[in-house]
Amino acid sequence: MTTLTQDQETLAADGDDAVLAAAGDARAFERLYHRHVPRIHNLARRMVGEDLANEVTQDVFVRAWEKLSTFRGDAAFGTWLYRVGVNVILGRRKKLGIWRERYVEGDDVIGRLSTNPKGGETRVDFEAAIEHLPDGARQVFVLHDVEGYKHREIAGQLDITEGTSKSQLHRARMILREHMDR
Amino acid sequence: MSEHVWVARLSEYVDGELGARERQELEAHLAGCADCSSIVEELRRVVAQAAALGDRPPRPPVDDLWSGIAERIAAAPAAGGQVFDLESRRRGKGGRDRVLVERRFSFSLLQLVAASVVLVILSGGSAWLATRSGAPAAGVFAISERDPSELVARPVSSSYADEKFGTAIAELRRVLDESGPRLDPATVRTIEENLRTINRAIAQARRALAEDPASEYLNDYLAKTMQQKLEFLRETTSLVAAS
Ligand SMILES: [Zn+2]
Repeated sequence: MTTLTQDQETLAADGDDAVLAAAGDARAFERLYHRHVPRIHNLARRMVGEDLANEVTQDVFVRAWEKLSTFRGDAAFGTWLYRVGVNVILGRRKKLGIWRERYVEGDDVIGRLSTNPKGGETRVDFEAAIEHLPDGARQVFVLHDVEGYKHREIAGQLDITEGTSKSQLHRARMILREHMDR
Repeated sequence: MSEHVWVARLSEYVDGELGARERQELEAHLAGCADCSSIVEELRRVVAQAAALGDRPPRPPVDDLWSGIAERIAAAPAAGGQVFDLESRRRGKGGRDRVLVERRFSFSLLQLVAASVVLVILSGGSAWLATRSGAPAAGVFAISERDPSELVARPVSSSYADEKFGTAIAELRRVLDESGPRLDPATVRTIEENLRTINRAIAQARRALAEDPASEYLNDYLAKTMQQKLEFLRETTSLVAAS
């Protein structure tokens, strides 16, 4: 069986389950959960760190359940869910008031990771390094460099300027380059 | 030297976001500055590694998160309770009803067909399983094979919906009338009940489509679902007829 076929099967199954779930079928929603939780959890882990990732992942799925009626089937369910996830995570930061604060805080936080234990497994080290980036820099980095969002989109979602988005990205990269094996 | 002016913009350079003039100036600087050049290299590796991360298959959480979610959505109002308000505000007056109609329709249609299929499996038993597991038996699938072109997806209008369901139901009704005496009364009752539900679903579908005939989602979904479900209805009919 080819990957393409599996994708198509997943798409079809997602579409059916999304309709059932929107009508209140929790078991259909559980199937959606199992198909999509890895990606959402990864996003959460990178955006808010390991400690909060479980809680945030649950928030994302609860929100998705509440919002299912707005899923019109014109995008893949996974894409829609992912957007819900990004919004929940970012909304959470804003609600907690952490967001702006950290931007203003600026350079105090930068040094936090600059002394890096070299070696070890690159990927684990790199992922851990992302999780330990200062807030703001971390979210912009994950959205831009891992997830492929544009500065314009990030700025819009975070209610910051594109310039701030760019400088936070650069800040994150400058810290992370210390964590590359060489 | 002016290099610190440039360091802050090296990411933009790496991302190809500098204007032509700035890029040329920076490249002139890079040609003479080993420090900045090596930072550019490192930034590129970070970008590449981050992109590779995005391409990796994600790993699932270690802990069970579903039970917590299940509790919370069970406690939540009907799915979408809050969203209905947002939706209706966005759509203006009348939006709420339409969404409700659409959702109720989708639900009842799927549910009732699931019910009929279960019913068929219970009552038609071996015939059903035999045809599902092997090549279709000509006799059993006679009705759906008669005009396969009818089942090709195409834009659904309310009359299309009506007509197809009407035909399928009339067929089932006729067969029931003919073979009713041979059937278990409970089976007949369940089928009758399902028929009433189908009638309600059709009424709801008609209203949903009348309010939003252009809804691609509704049309697509209807086309696909009805295609499948009509087949089920017809198979139900065939199996009842064969019993
Ligand atoms: Zn330089």
